[in-house]
Amino acid sequence: MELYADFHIHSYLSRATSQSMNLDELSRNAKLKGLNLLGTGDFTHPVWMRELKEKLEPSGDSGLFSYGGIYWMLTVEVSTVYEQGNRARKVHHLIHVPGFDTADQIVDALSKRGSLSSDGRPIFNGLFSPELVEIIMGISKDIMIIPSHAWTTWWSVLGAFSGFDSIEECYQDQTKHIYAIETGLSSNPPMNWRWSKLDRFCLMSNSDAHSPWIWRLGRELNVFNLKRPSYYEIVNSVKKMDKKRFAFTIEVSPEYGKYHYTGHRDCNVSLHPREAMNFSNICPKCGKKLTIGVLQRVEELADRPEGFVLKGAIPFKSLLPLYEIISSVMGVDKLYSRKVTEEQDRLISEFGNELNVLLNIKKEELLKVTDAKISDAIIKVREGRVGFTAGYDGVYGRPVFDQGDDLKASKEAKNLDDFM
Amino acid sequence: MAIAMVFLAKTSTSGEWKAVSSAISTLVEEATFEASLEGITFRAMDPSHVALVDLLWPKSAFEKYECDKPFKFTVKMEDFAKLIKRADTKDNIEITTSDEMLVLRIVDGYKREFLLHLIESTYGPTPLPKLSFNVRATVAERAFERMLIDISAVSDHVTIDASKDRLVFTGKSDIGSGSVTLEKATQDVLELEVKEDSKATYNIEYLSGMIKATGSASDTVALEYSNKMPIRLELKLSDLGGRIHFYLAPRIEEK
Repeated sequence: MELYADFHIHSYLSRATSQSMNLDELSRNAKLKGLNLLGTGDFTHPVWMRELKEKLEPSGDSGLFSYGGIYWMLTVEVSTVYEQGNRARKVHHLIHVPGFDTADQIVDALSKRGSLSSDGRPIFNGLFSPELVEIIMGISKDIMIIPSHAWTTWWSVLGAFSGFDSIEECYQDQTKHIYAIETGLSSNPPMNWRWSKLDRFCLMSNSDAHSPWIWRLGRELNVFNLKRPSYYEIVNSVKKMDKKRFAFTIEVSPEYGKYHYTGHRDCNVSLHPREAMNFSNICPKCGKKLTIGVLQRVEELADRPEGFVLKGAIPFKSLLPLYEIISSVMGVDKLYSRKVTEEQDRLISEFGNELNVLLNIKKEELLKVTDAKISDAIIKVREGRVGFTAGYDGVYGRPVFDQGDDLKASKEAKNLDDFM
Repeated sequence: MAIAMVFLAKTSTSGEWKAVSSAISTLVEEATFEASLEGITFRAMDPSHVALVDLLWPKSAFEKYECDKPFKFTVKMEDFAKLIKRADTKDNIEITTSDEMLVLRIVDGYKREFLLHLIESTYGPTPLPKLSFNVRATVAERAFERMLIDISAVSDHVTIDASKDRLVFTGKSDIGSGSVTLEKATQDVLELEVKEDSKATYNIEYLSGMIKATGSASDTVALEYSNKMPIRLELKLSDLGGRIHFYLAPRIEEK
């Protein structure tokens, strides 16, 4: 059975999230997206935990649950904030657990270290990352804990502003329990393959969705091929980096991510790492510090050239949310547009779900439902023939379709390897 | 690290070594030189693989050159450059290796000797890009450098547009645009061969770094490129021979 899984989301009880992040809206939108397994997020929050216990049905002894026609896994993201090496460190971690008994023990342990009711994503001041892992893994070896959005400028294990220079520097002796990292929207597997220190970590992808709409939910996800849905099989396939069971990840192009390039949002300054370094990471318009993007951070740590392919790695596919594709083709620059939504809904209604539209439907079939430009754009995204203006300092990147082929050619010509 | 039994490379001035050191330091932090019976070669790309430097320094270009078998030696460029800078222009420079050390002697009556630890190379061989060029021009180094300074006043990138009789350099940004035209058969353009009109855009910072690195050793710059393809700059090391090739990838054209 194929499982299309997004493990990292937040409920309406996390800060800055949509009030529609409830189990009913989430399961309804997951099905429209083509997901059949969601992480619950936020299980340490007492109100959310109560709802989960009331509604989720255990799926046998699989360690998963069912509700609303999809499977669920108990997950929570926690934040640790502390000082190490005379620097403030802020790291987010994603915890996966196989059942409520284990989740309850985590709640007990973490409630002694900070408030769990003020935020669905609890923040623990003074709790070191290795200490967190030791507490969590002391409860059950079946738990999987991974660093969230590992490269993001803030709040991440390798981030430019409050992260570390290696996974080991952060988790120290507890690194032995870290089997995977979440790559985040602004990096993709090829960027991670450039650093040999990450070779032993499985690369996972999730949305970190704060709203349930299908252009947010499952915009990055993991695809498993298992005999039956099972928490233990999923975790084991991650630990083993088993391509037979962990089939592939689906990524957005890293340029789409909000922290891909280095830049300064207030001044509309967006820079490739080379240009940013030429400016000594100072905004050329206002003189303030630039927000260092993920591409630059990868460039700092990488020990392999661009284009390096890691043998044996979990494969990946690059897509974009259908809403983004349609709004870009239509030239609509709004967070919500009825015109775009109607076109999106028509395609989903005809072909079952968004991932099916994006991954499988042939162009001639698409043309029966939508116009040539949108059909063409969907195929271009599937084939990787789309250019981008890269995201920076909290601004999402934007796809560029009208010169797709030319852009691909020019994008490929970005370094000398392309001429070897 | 295999060290040659006999190795000595001597130049009568320090300009060549300064140019080589500066050219390499522009792009990489460590350099593995290959010494053979024929002379010294070096090739490496910068970490982003946007630029490549390729050095060919034949035996004939040295005042004295001895090497009994091919070997490689790797130095940290920051340290190497620091020592080379100790030499005045007219000083003799003599380089040998001994017991995992590079020995640098600077002689002008006042003899100085520095020992520099050799390091293990962390890079593999660097291939050259496969290119054919539709434009070849020899431009006065001063004119080329001046053009880069002029265009950098309006842009970070320069577009080079070559036609039969002239080279037009342009730059454009939010603040405005600028252009510099160099005509064929003038003191600025000593040679211009154009098989096909060609246009490509390159990063000025890289080009300036390359030109500054070798300015003291060469009066002319030979540039070769084709439409939207990498550029190759050739700078002579000395009248006795030797050259440095710089390759630079064209700019990413983003909408």
